[in-house]
Amino acid sequence: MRLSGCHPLPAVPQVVLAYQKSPNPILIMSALYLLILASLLVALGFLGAFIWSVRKGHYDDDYTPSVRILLDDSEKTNTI
Amino acid sequence: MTMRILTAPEAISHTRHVCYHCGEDCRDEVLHADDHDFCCDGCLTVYGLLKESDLCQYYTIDGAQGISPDPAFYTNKFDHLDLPEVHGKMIEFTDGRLTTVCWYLPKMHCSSCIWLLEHLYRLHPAVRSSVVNFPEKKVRITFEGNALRLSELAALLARIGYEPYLSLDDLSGRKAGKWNRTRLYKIGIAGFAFGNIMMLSFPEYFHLGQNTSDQNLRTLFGVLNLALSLPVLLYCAADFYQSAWAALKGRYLNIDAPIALALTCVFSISIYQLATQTGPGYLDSFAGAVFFMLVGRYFQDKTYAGVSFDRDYKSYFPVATSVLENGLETRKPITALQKGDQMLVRNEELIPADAVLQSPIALIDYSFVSGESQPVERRKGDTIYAGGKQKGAAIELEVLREVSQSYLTQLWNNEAFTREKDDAGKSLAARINRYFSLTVLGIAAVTFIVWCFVFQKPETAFLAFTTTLLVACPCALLLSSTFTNGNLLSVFSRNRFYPKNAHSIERLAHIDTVVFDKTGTITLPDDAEINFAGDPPTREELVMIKSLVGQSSHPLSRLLAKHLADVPASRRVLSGFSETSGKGMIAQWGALTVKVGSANWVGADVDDVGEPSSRVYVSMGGAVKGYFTIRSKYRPELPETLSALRKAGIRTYLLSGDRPTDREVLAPLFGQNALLLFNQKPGQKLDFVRELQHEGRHVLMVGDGLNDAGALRQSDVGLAVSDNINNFSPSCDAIVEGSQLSLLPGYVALARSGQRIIRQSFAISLIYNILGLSFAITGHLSPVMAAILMPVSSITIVAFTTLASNAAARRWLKN
Repeated sequence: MRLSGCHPLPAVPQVVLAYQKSPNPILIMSALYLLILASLLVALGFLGAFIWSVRKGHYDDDYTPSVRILLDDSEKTNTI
Repeated sequence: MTMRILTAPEAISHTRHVCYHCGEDCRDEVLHADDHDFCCDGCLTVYGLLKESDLCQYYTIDGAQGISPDPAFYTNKFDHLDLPEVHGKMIEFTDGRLTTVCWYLPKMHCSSCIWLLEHLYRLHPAVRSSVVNFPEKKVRITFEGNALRLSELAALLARIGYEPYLSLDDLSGRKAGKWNRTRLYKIGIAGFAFGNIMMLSFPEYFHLGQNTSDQNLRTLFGVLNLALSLPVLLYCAADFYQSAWAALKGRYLNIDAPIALALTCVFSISIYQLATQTGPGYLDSFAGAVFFMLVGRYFQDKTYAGVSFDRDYKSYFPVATSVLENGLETRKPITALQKGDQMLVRNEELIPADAVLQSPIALIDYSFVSGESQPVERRKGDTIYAGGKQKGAAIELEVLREVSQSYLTQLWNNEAFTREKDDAGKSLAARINRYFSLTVLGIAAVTFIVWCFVFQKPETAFLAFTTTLLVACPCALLLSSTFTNGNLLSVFSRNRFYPKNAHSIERLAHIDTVVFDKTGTITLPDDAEINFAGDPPTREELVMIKSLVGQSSHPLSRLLAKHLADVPASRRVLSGFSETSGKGMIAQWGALTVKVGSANWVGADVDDVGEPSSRVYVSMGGAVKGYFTIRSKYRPELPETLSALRKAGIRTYLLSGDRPTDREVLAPLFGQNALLLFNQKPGQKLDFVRELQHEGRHVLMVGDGLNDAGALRQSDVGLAVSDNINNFSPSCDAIVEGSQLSLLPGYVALARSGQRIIRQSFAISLIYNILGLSFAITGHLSPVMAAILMPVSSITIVAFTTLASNAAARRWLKN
């Protein structure tokens, strides 16, 4: 069971390699800043979507839509 | 001849017909159309209307059960809706072309109702859209105001069976607020801030280094965390600050005051640490605490859609009444009624103002107003008080006093109605908090002094002081009570018992006296105990009696007809029917003269020696056959309920506005005669409850009508019994469905368990508190420790209260 000897080591991600080699970590850090801001923006987007849905009254009635979706809305029916 | 009479009704009873529209058994003649059976003209008309607009899909929806339109509907019933002063208040919005109105339709009951009401546009082209809110039983309709008048829209709804419930309350201009949305915004924003601050704090917990880039990151995280926590402080937590300020101004300490103090301390120490770069602060714990407390409050304050607790006589009174002017009938808003106006009141309609009777005879049902179970007879010239309902033919009345001055509305001038029930400082959490907050403040102060003066370390003193407040923040106490009460509220509502709020549950736990009203509360509203005295009637005679009473709208006739539900009626054999108001009915059954009515009417000997129940005599061909005795029927589970209450150490009283008719029946149930009081006026009921409270008792009043409104208001817990929770019930602290009243001892026991659960979960949170305090006092409470302790203790409490209260519910409310 010498697994470590049999298998090649997984490839080291480029970013980590760059971090280990680069003399100037500022470059990687700026990518981190960008990612943090991007993640915050995405989260803000979801918050905005939530507020929008509350504003539109999606939370005022949590029962009727569940019934409405099951009712057929065919324009003409022949079953009498 | 005789043969034919006998076979005709038998034939009807053998084949069972079910109405295609309303799904009820067809008891009388059956109408046919398109191979379907219908029980009445009303149902057939609705079917025709739906078929014409190609809406028959309605009948194919699962569980579809149409509503038979009110046979008492008459054209022009809604004419008052077009009067400018009514129209303006009734509509929600108009831009001159499109108008929106939101109406309460109490008849709405199944998914096919939703389908039909949302297809109104096919019934009338001027309807643009209609959206149903099923839990609230409301429909919001947008229509072209020029092409369809409001009265026509209401009539259209009434014609398909969904008559809108319009009351005086709709004119008072009170509109339900959108408080729910504000709460959701706050929870959403606090949750967003909590999650993101926690994520941005992770690197700090896992030790950022001291090199420049890590320092830069640390600054960025600090700034972002601060930016995220600002809306939490200023917007989400604003309620705690407002409530704390209001309490301090009122010179008492509520639970929000120490919470506001703790939040302020945590926020300021965080800013201090960030500004001096001495630490990351406790902003994630701060946002998390606010988030959990907001969720707890939302859970606790959830309201039931469609149940209203604050109704007064205004929601019982109609918007308008028919008035005769120069012999012409018009509709007039009842607020505009003046002394001397001539009113026309039809069967089952409410008399809106004190008035003098102009018609020869009237039969007024005061059961809702005074508690009298039998309708009373009034003659020309008698004064009739507002609130009664006419039973029988339409009557004319002359208005004596305006609506706002009538006898009934006077009850609302009692000071019991102007005073809010005092809840501040009474809840269990508030009582525990009083000691808890003082202890915590004491510990924090001692810690501060020891660090400051003994060890001479003012900075650690400050840190220890604020972190002590942070870990010992009474938010755990708040969470215990909000989640327990919130969970109990939903357990109760599943059992069709609707407490108004958490305070009502806490007051219910302290009840030691229960006062019952009689009529409508412990009696069944539409049922009676009916016995026949004399020779038992044959089936043929029963058919005759049923056919006769089926023709009459007298309440006793109705009860008899209901009692004889299995007996078929036949109008074909019956001839020469006539009814004399207040006396009885006469008709020919073939050659036989049948009389049903009072003893005088049929010519029976009166041996009335104060016989409590009402009698309906029957004579056939001049020979008196006997009489039916009709007495109120008590809820079958009443004896069991009362003995269970007494076993729990609760004293029971009966307070009735009715005559002392069933004293002998009720006395053994209530234990002793002295606990039964009859002939009580609404004001006397209120005073009785107040007397009991002066003796130091905690009173639960159980009532149903306007006559109980004062006592319900005065009592510690006013419980309104309603056989349909969407119907009118007076202002109260809780509403229970009539069939569930037998569970009352279980409800009280569960409320008591709730108080115990709050204490237990608070004890659990104390363990966490002591653990946290031991770190805080030594000045070693790290942000990561706080960030772990806070959610873990919150989640433990939520889980414990939910499990414990569900277990208690299973124990006390088995079925």
